[in-house]
Amino acid sequence: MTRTKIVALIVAVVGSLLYVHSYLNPPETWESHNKKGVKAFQASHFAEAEKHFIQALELAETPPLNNDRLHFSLYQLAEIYRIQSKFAEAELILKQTLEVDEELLGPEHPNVAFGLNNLASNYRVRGRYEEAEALLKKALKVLEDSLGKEHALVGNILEHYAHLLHKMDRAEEAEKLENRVQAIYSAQGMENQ
Amino acid sequence: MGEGMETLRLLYIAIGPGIGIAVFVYYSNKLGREPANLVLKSFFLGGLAVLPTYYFEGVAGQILGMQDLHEHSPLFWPKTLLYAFVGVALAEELCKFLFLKAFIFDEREFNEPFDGIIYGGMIGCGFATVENIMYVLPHGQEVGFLRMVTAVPGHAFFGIILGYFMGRAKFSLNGARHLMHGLVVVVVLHGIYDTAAFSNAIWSIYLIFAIILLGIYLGLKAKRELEKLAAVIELSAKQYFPLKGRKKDVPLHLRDIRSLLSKGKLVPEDNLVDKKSGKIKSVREIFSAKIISQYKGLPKTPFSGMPVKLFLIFYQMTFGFYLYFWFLGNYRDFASYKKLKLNPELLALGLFICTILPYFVYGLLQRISGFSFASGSVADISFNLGVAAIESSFLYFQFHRFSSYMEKKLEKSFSVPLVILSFFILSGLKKVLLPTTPFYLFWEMVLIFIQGSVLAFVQRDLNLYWKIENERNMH
Repeated sequence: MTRTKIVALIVAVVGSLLYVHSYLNPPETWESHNKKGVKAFQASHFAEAEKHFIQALELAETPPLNNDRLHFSLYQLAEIYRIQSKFAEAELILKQTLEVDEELLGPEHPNVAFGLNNLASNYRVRGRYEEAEALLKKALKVLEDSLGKEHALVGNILEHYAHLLHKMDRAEEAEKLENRVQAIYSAQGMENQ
Repeated sequence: MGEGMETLRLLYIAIGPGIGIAVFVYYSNKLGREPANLVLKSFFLGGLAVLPTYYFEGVAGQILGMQDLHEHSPLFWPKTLLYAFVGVALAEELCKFLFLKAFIFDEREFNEPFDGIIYGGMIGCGFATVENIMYVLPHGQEVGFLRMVTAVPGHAFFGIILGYFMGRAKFSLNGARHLMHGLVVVVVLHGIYDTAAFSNAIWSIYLIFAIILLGIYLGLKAKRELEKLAAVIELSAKQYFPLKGRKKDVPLHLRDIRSLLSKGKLVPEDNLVDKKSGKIKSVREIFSAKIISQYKGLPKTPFSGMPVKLFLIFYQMTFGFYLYFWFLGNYRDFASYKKLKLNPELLALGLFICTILPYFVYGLLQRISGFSFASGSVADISFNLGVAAIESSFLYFQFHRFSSYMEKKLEKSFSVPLVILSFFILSGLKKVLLPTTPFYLFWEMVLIFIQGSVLAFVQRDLNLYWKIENERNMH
């Protein structure tokens, strides 16, 4: 048997076996983990969904870095932790999301304000009201500076803030905020008309 | 439509074109047929070559991060070029080359340079067919129809080009140089094709078609050259004395040498003595491209025509795409026999361009103007009938010419206006048939069958004509 024949035989046999193996066991990708995670989530298999979202996040964190994927995975994971009431784990992820947003978009970007709001919600649920308030104040400032004081999204944060103040038994302050929210929404409604 | 039927339909779309071109390649040798088992072996080797190359392409794609590569990323072009030329083109062509060299090249039946065209073409068609199945089954019929005019003829003709160099290499004193040339040519063509395909740029589709047309042109040119060489081997009067064996004093024609090669009684390295000059030459030298110069002095090459049933199978299997090859083959036969001053390849290319290009221009105009004509609208039907008219005009001029030769020999030859009118109506119907029509593919197939049957009348008369001419030449 000639050398060329031996090489060709090895290529044919080994190459085909490797292909069949890879076809039967396709490597997991960011997309495949997300797909499986969403499927498990829809079937209310939250633990399984969490496992896939963690693996998707790990893949999103490996270079070459894709920020859209990273952000999406962090958000998915934070959400699945929230649904399972794993607030401590969710806090870590929300902090990481905030860091990514601040680094990518800058500390004054509206998305950073939403990140702060999400983290504040996490603290509020866990009774860490002072920390939550500080974050909401910061979020409010960022949004007011970037979108203006009368923007509907500012109203959204104010609503959350008012809810927190009620929890903190500061009904008077909460009422003031609620009036402001009402004014913003009314103005928006007038504009829409 | 049930899932099973849908899979069968897609399978038909996937394998039809590859097998159609393979049959065209197989029957393109008018002077003899290669053994079916070796031809099938080449076809299956081509199909087998898909598996290792796909594994390699997957690994190369992962290493280069092709899945995550964004067209605006700084490394987009270097990585795309590297992946297209090395990850895909080199891998695929090298694997075809390796299998052809290892399992076919040394076969005794590979006994003249033209055989390279057959076996190379078969490897290419086998590769195209299996690859097509892997693309069409998951991605649907649109991909199948697009690949029918791009990747499938691409692989088939790259295979023919590779086979041309293999054939030259086996019967030449500097075989390694021919092998290297062949590999470089097909890798470059394939690499440019893949770069265009992966770049996803607006101009990609034009470059893809340009490369496919170039591949078809070079493949047909290569085939034509080795056909001449095969005719010389078959018909040359030159004789050689063998230097070994019992019948040393019996002179051999070139076709005898070819026959002894296939029986294993001679090998390409064996020497023979030229009866006239007394010079000693190896079979490699005798069968080298130099002998093409004898082609002009040969008697008129006999033509066998093509069985009508076979023509209908080709036509149906390739969704009518075989028309281009048939058109080319007919012109070639007459140009060669009647010594006509026309270029068959250019005319076939003209037919191809004039019937494919309008669709791109039409699509482009709609994109630019932002106005799209709905399928079945008057504008859309007029456009499709226009293309059918162009197609029919090309055939009209060819048939008109042929019928002038045939009517002198045949008692009653086919009616050109009737055939052309029928062809035009069927072609028009086929083009305007809405894909939303119930059992669309079935009706499409029926129209193709009737269209093929109309052309079969021409094929029947051509067969009669060649039979009469061959008998006349023999007398």
